[in-house]
Amino acid sequence: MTYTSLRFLLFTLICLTAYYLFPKKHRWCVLLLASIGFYAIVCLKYIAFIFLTAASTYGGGIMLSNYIDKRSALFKELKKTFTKEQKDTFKKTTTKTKKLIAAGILVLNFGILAFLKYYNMFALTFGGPALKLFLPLGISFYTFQSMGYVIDIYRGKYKAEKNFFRLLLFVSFFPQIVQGPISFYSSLSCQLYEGHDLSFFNIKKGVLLITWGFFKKLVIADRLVVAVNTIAPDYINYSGTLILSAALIYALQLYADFSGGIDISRGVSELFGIELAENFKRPYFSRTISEYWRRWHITLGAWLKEYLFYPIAMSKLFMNFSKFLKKHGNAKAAKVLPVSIASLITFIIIGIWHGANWKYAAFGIWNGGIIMVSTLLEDSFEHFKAKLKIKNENPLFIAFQMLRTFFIVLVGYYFDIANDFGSAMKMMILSVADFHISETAKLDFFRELMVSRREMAIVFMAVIVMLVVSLIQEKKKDTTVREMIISRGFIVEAAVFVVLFFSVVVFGVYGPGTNPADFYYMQF
Amino acid sequence: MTKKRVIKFCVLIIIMLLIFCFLSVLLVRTTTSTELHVRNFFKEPENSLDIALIGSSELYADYSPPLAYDKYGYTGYNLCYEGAPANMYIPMLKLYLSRQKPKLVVIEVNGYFYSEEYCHRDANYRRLIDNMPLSKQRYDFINELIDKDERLSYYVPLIKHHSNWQNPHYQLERLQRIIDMDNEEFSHMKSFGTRTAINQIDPKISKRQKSSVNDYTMKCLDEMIAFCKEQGLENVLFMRAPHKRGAVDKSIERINKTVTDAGYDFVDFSKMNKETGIDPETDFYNPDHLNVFGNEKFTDYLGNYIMTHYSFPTEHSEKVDEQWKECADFTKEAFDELKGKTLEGENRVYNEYKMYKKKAA
Repeated sequence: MTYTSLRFLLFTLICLTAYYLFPKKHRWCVLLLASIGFYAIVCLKYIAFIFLTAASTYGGGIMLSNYIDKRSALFKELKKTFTKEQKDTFKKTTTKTKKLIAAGILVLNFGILAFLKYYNMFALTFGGPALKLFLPLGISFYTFQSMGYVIDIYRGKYKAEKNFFRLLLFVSFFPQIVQGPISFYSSLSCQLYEGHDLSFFNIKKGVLLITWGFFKKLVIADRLVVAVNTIAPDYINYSGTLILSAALIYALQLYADFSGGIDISRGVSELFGIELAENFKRPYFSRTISEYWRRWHITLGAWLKEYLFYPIAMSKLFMNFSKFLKKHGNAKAAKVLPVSIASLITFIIIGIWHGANWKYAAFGIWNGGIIMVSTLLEDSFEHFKAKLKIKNENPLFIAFQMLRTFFIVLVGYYFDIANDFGSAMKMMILSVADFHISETAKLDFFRELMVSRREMAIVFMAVIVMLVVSLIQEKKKDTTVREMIISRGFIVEAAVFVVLFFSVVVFGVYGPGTNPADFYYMQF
Repeated sequence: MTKKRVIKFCVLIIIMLLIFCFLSVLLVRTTTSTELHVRNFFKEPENSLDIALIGSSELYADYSPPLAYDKYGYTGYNLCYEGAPANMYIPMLKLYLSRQKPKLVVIEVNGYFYSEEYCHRDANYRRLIDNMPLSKQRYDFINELIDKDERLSYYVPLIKHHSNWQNPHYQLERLQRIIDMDNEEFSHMKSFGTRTAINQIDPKISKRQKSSVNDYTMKCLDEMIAFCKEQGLENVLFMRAPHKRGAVDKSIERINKTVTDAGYDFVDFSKMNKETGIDPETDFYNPDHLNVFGNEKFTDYLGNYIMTHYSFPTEHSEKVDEQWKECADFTKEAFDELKGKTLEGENRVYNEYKMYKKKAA
């Protein structure tokens, strides 16, 4: 039951009906049953893993919360009698125990994830026996989400949830279990537990977003996936022009696939009155690679920033390193270098998170490295720009920056589509050395890409639609395109929906004889 | 929900249903001959047909019901389509019996010569099911014949056929053909298809080996016989229509034995050129199908065979006779024209000649 199947839509419809028929107070129970039901239908075999994560998160959270409460009560009680030394010792002991509990939960959950995902990669590299391992559905997403909750309790941001089933719902909420977005407990939990009133505005918004997601996934992404899957693994038999075309197609396909899937997730949630965090903000409009990562897979970036980047950058080691640089007279380096290294580490982890293959480490190093270099050379760039009298608002300069950023991103994509690091490098070289623009005019060019001319024309038109929507959204940041459509009244909203719906029905890639592609991020 | 909102919702649903129906008509397609031969069957007045003819392309190419009516007075319809396999014969007969009470069932056995893999190809199911009107019977056929996981695209055929947008020119041409066909009250040639050629070498057919049955299709034959018995059908004639490309003798023997042991009749017309008067040099358009010259001869011979071996009343209502006379007159005229075209070596495929005449007019 993938998100683009009729079964899923029917499932959602049944859950939605049940949700609004149930008393407000118990509506979250419907969501819980739906989420467990969805997981059981799709991945019953491995349902124990999600229960284990939920149970350990719940137990660990309660233990942490209780411990923090007890210690602070005790501290309040004994505060006046404590000497400064005693206070310090008390705080140290508390922090140490807190850390131990939190670390135990984190090691258990990240350990399961790391073992299932990376054991074979290490076994292959260092010569151990390979195991037949599997990845339970959405394990990365629910592990990250749950561990965020544990860390927040450790930090004392909020108290632990006392009802196990409520926490289970937070861990397993079905519209986001497959590929996120990764939510923070503070923003999602209250929405999940609160019974929402039926709002036609939300229903309309949700339906439009779901249809838009279907459009991106079935009309664009699934039509193009075959080109990438044909050329990339067998790149040696194709020209550089075709390899570059495959990489460009991948850029489009990946965005349409992932953002389309997220649109469906967010749209389904909106039907229940729940707003999930945005995961994409037109990433290919980014002017710098840092901006790109603030616009692409936003929730992963936010999670890593909150729970990985800051803890590294603010750690004693990095602070001392900063102090050391400052002491030795390099104030600029003291400010920038530790942050850049923390950023590089974060990106290497993002890379590895993308897959159990060393090519993904290269993907992380490439992205992190570019950010590191650009941060370190920022002043020189500014100086250079000032010399050339280039203004930031100059449209040509903006276009140049966007293209430059896209090119950097594209290089990273080669690591994604290639079989391994070596292949990625060879593909890049071929894309430059064996590129002939005249090839694109040949009749069999599209045939080699496994996409007919008519299909390419449809993709082209769909991309134009996507571009127009993105441009409008980029300009109107205080509202969404959907809200703008709905505000125009019934005829406009119905017309947009009908056109979008039947575009998917007619031009979508689905049905018998087609090989439906899973969502790319489903494998995480 | 306010009244206004309900009205808006209903309007939206109606508009979407209309678009959906239009797209289904425009995009859902099987093959031209199938669409014509299967869909036209439903235009025949109920209980107006004396005999049932079930089979694959051999029937619409080799036998003409209006010519048989003209000479022998009995009515019948070729419920057949190209490549109809053995496993679809029972559904086809079921369909026939649900609308007609034939006194004789004629089954052309070519479907029993296909491989099991071929029998289960999606297209073979769709050629029948996708051309049936929405009905309980269609729903039952889907549930009976199709795997659970694949049923949805049979309930909603647009799921399968939506990608036909890639051939807009063909789809529009076809839409015109469907509209023309729907404007006709009934089929004038009662399922007919031919090629205006003599002895064309069809590379697909000439590469084929001699036809033979297999365990699966023999099982289908057993089931067919059991179904006929269950339905209380007394007169059932299994026949092998004239072919230039022979079948394996042992296969014919197996069919013959199975059919005759069950008390039904089997005739292999492919070995009776002398009796039928069919000339292999002039009466075929390809090794498996007769052209109009051969069709005329075989229709005459089969008609005569039926009338001498089976006895059943051939009275019909005035309206039915009127319709069939019109069909016979039209078919005779069409055959004359098609013979001329064949002799000229036109080499064109015709299905239900009426629409071509209309187009030419």
